[in-house]
Amino acid sequence: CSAPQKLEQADQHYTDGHTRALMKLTHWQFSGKIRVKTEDSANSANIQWLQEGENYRIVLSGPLGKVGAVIDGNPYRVTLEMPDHPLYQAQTPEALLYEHFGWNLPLSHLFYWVRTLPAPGSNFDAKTNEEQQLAVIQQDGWDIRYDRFHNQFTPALPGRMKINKGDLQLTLVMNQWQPEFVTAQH
Amino acid sequence: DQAAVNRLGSLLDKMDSLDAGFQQRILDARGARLQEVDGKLSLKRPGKFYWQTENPFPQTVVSDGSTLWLFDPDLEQVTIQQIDESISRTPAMLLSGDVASITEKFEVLKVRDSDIEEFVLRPKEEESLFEELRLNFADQWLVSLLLVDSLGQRTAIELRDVRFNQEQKAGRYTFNVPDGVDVIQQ
Repeated sequence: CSAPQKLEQADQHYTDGHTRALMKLTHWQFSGKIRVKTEDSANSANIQWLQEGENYRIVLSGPLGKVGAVIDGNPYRVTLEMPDHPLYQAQTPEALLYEHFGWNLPLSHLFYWVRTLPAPGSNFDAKTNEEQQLAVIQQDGWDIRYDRFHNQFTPALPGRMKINKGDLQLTLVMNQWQPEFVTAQH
Repeated sequence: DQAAVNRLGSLLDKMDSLDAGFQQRILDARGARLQEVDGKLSLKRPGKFYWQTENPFPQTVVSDGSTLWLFDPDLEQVTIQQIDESISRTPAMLLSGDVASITEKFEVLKVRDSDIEEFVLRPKEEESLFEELRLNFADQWLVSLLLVDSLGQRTAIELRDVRFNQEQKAGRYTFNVPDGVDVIQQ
């Protein structure tokens, strides 16, 4: 992996500016790969993530592109579609993921973490790397590290992130981003 | 038909080993380009196989005929499986199989017989990974493969600077797991 980088504490000023810039990213699509490792299993899949404001669609597919699961959601309801399975519904994405995959993964936080943003509503610790990119977030017991970036975007978007807590390890690779930054001034 | 089977058999028999670069293009059913990547391929009959693609879709698949390594450098994970006869996992791997097993598992048709000899292989078993595999030979040597899967997705593999039946590097068909990579025994 990449050499260990010198990390610095991100101060309030940095995180405020960083958050303002990335909160403008409200519509995006990225495609890549995801791996979820628990104590007794490791699964990986191709992933497509489409986000439009608070509505999202996450498609997980196998090696030859066979769709394995489609998660569609908005703040009130989330559904899981899998081939030859009835449609599952849940109030929150967390409940859905836990019931069907056994992962207790804060998907609601992930909406922020994939943009290198700390999730609102709970305190966090953030560090920047030598290029002044936000490289580490620690929040609610989760350790989130970004070790690849797509620098053709400003602000830069993550190319790979690793999320760990206890024996749950998640690696998310974002090969291609199609971001839409809202440019309208609030 | 039998003539096609015999002809394909003789062409494959000539190919004791192969080393080549390749370009792989994956198109969806409507012909939109999903992925394009370059890579390196080596084969040695029977059953030895090396397949590596570059960024942005890096993957390494290696087999010594009894063990199969599937390495994903992005996810830092290698899956190790024992080969059993049934898993002709990828079309290129199939080429390193013995001719009898190929012609036993596939119906073989010859669809072109001019400067290019083109064979179409359709799996006899139901749930195969792909629906159709086309092999193209120019002057009796393999030049390209095309795979069509059940979603209508087409994977075209064009071979470049191909060297047949040449001396190959020792250890080409065993995979040494880099450190920091998670090993999954399947």
